[in-house]
Amino acid sequence: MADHQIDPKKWVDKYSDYLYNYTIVKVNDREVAEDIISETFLAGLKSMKNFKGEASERTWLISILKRKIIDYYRKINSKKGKAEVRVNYNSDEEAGDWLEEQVADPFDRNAEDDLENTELGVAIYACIDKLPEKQAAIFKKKTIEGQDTETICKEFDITPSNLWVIIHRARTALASCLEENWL
Amino acid sequence: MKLFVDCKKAGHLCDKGQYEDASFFEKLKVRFHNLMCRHCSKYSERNAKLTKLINDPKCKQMPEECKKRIREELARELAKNKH
Repeated sequence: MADHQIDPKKWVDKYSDYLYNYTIVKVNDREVAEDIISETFLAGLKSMKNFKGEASERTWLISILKRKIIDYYRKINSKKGKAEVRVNYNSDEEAGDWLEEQVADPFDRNAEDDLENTELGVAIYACIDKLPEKQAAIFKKKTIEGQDTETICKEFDITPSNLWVIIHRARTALASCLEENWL
Repeated sequence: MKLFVDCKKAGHLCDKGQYEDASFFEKLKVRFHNLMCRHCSKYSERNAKLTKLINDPKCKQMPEECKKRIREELARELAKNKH
């Protein structure tokens, strides 16, 4: 029995913002990020049967995403033409570790990066992801999308006081999740 | 209308205050309560910081049209796989 289930219908709602923040700091372009994420989800769909349920769905999607980001850079690098690359080594001892080798490889780390090394947007969405599903959905609608209380209450069939209890719980949980590195 | 509120109410009003859902008088109540209550004062401070983080331009959200497009793409692919 797999520990983690997979449900592509929920992917966009659950992970797109997280993946978006993750990607955009690495490619620095809104449209490129959107394309890469869309490709990631489609690739995920195709390789769904390879999902063993050992990692969480999100970790698995991130590992696909990382490969897509690498592919993107490979592609633009090969487009730049095959210009000769000259490398100046500072000394003979360093020969061999030129630029590409000197840069700490961000893709090297296992699974997801430590939160302390990630960007604010990634950290926030990682914390939102830990909330119960309904709490997360309501919190996002209210706080990030800025929908008004009445609209959300109608959609989820709850009273305003229910909503504020949920918001309060979500905020408290988020604050403690972000506390160590951001608050 | 009373100016004094208990901690529970102050916390609730503080939450509302993060969303421009609190009136001027309600905000005043929180301030007044916080003068007397260290615990709530700390909560308010943390809450305000959280709001600031979430509103930080570095925290982005994927545009809704893009989400919609991807949702449709996924649905199409899923439908194809069933056949």
